[in-house]
Amino acid sequence: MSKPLVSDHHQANRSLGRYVFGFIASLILTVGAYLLVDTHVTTNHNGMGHDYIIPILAGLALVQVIVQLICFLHVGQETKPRWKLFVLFFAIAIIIIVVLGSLWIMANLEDHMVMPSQITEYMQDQEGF
Amino acid sequence: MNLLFASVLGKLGLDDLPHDPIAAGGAIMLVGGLLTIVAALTYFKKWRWLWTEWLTSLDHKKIGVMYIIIASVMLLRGVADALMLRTQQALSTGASEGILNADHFQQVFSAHGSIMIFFVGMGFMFGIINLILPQQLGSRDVAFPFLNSLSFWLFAVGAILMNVSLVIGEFSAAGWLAYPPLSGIKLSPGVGVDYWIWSLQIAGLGSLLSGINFFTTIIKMRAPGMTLFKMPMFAWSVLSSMALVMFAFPILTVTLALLALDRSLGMHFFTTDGGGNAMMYINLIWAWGHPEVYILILPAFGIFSEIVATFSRKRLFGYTSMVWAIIAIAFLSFTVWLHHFFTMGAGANVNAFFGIMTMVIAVPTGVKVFNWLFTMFRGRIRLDTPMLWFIGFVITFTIGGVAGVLMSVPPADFQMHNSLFLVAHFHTMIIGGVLFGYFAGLSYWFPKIFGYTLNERLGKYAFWNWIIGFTLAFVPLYILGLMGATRRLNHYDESLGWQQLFIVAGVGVLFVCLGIFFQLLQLVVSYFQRHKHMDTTGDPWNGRTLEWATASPTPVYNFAVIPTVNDRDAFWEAKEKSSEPRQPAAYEPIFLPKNTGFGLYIAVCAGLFGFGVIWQIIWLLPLSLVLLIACIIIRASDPEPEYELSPAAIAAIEATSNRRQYL
Amino acid sequence: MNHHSMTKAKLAAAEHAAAAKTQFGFWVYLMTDCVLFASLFAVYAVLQNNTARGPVSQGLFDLNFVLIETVLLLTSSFVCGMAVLAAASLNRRATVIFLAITCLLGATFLGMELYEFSHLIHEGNGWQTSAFLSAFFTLVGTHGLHILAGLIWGLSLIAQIVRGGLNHSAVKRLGLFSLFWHFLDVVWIFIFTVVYMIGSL
Repeated sequence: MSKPLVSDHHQANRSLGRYVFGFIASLILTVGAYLLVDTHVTTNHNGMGHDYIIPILAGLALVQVIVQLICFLHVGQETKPRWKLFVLFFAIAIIIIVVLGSLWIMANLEDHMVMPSQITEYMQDQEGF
Repeated sequence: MNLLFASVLGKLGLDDLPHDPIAAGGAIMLVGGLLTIVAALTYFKKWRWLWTEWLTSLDHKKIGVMYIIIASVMLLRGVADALMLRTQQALSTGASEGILNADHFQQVFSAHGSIMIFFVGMGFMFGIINLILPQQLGSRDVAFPFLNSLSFWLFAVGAILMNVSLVIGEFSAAGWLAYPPLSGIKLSPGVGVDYWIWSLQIAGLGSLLSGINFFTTIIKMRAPGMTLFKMPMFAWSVLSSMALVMFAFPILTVTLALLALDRSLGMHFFTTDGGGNAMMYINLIWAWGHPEVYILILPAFGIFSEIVATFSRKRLFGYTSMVWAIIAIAFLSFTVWLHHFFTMGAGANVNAFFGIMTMVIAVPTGVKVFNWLFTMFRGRIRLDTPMLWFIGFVITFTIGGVAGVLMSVPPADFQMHNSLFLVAHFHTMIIGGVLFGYFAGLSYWFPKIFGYTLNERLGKYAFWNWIIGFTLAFVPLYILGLMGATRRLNHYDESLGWQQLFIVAGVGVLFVCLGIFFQLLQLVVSYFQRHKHMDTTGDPWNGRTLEWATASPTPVYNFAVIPTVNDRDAFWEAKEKSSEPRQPAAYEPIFLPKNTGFGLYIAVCAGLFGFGVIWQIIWLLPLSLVLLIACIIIRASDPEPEYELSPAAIAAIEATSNRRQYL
Repeated sequence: MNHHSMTKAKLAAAEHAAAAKTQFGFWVYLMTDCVLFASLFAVYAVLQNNTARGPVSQGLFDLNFVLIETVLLLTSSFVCGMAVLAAASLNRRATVIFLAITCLLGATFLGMELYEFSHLIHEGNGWQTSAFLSAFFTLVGTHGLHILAGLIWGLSLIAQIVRGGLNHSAVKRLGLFSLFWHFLDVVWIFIFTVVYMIGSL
């Protein structure tokens, strides 16, 4: 039998509180997002704030991610040196660069895509083919 | 009856064996070589020895040797491919069609690139890291020894799968990166691209696990007192490279998987119908591909930092700036990938951004080159073979590098993209940079691994043939590229006047083959001369870092007593401070991982799964998966995977040890 | 470890160091899995409007169904946390019960997801129809495969604890399992938001 990993009752209670808070907060954020979208769809995408709904949903998701990172995944509770935190930030940085970079590139390529009919039209009208 | 065969063997049939002479010749050589090895092992009754001493070992040094052996064999295959390609291009103009038909030529250059990057480059890299990193850190092993064995076997199974394609079926004809739609199921209905996908997918998984393993090793297992800024430069280069491995290889995993889903399950990621977008493949594969080339070069930079300091008998110049430069290069390597497809049609602002980032990454690289040169300045230089490789590198890599900066300008790249200028550039970087670096590391650390030094004269012959061969093979390609020659041509018009340059390039490859011959000869001769060239001190080069503090060859536990470190160049410092060898310490028992075959078994299951997908042998798929999971569970339930080395046993080994006892 | 010759203090220290090393390595692996999912999200984002002759995402999903799925997974993540706390207090029975509930909820989630998939396929909206559907099935399906792997792991962990008790190895592995399970719920937040919520607008 090895020693308990959590050495005192107080720390266990604080941990429990964290998990419960995280759970309830996540529930609220999830149901909130759901209600937002549900009313939006049932009012035929005409509800007020249609322009803002995507940023709001993104915000709700981001907050829930942070809540779960802190409450469930214990991010930030490392003792120094905080290597797990460093690796997390590095991963987030790479993900932002690669994902946003890819979206920028693909959107840009799409913008510059020319239909074959447009090329024919151009060649005939502008270049005298 | 036919139905029975089809359900058991999927698409596999007798006509999947090679039928044309060159392919058959390659297959016969491969199978012949394999049978020879099997016969030798049986005759000398070495099967048990092979299994217990090598295949099931979790000793990082043995795993390192096995990586190097596979990488060397694959190098021979890759150079054989290069010989065929150069011969084809030297002959095939005007009326002559050369020695390979078009489809064959495409398979050969696809195999050449895939083998060289994934199995030679990555193989040498992981081999050298395995051999040396723990010792440099003052550690006994890597963080996860079983994972290390599993990574090696995944690598080996990937290599085996690629070689099986030589005998059963065909290989991909879509280039080393298999762009869709050419690599899609419509335009490549055969098994070639599937072999490519699964060979790389399995080996890539091994690489990812190694990345996690070595990164954790460096963060968590340095000797006491060795802060990050007291680590040797090689360790810094490995840390940076493994960070790249960890975050780039998942992109490759996804991209290969999506292509496989397109081919096997009719999905529409990269198809020309159904809304697929082939450009997304190119974007993703290069988002992996660019970090990959930095993964390969950074450890080579680290090796050169060690070698330049040792062979100039001087501390490395500008350690701090070297560290920040390597961190900068690692981070920036994630911001340049579009320069591989400037011509795909993005707008000027996108192209400009990535062009500028590409230019920026040349700056920290330049810092490193200057620091190496400043290290040499006023040093007492010894031009042994490792240092020769460095001199060859610094000249070659710089020239190839500036060719790259030239192409980083998008309008210029529109002229040179996919020309032989590009081909010359990246071969300069990979041969002059990566390969020379790993050759240098192997000749530098050979005595540490095997206990005797290599024959110097043959090493120098090898180097000179390589550098002359490389120059003859690739300078003509720079010129041809500027003259308008595109890559991957199996035939060209006589009126272009290109043949003479192609012939020069062909001669270059022959010199490279001579270089390899001398390397092989060096190994054989050095082995037979080993008793005259024993490393009796563990420190044949008067080295600066901790790996030289162990005996040569290193005992299984590396250090009987874990050293405490006070400064950079920890071993040099220890030698300077002590005039007499220390008294042997009292030893604590050491716990080492037991041998296990489960790394091999799991990798074989993965290989069977891949083979099943390739040939559509449906029953093999769930079977191999279930076996794989079962192996993992069985291995995980092993209660005592370690064995103990008693203080008495350690003392006995240390008593006969030949190392200088400064630590 | 079973090192008779080491003192108790040294053994505890060595075990602690080894556990910290393994935890860090597993955390790093989770980061690589983040990049894997991020790549799949990028592909989904690029292809989500490439619907060819197939359906668009708006109106394709039953939002009530998805909400229930999501709450189930979230609850299982919470219960998993309870299992870890129970193990820390060395309560073997509670640990096994909480772990079993975690796996049960996870299996229900997976079952619901498979039902959703088969429903789509039966209506002719399989992964061969369009790039959007290929991306949908692959992104959500990859998450599902991870859940499946987690279930296998969870069940073998329950077996280990039932047979061998809450020894150091079991507690360590439970910690790693909980990291994995929580991480899968975090990824699901993104899937829920991007695929199902925003996709329905």
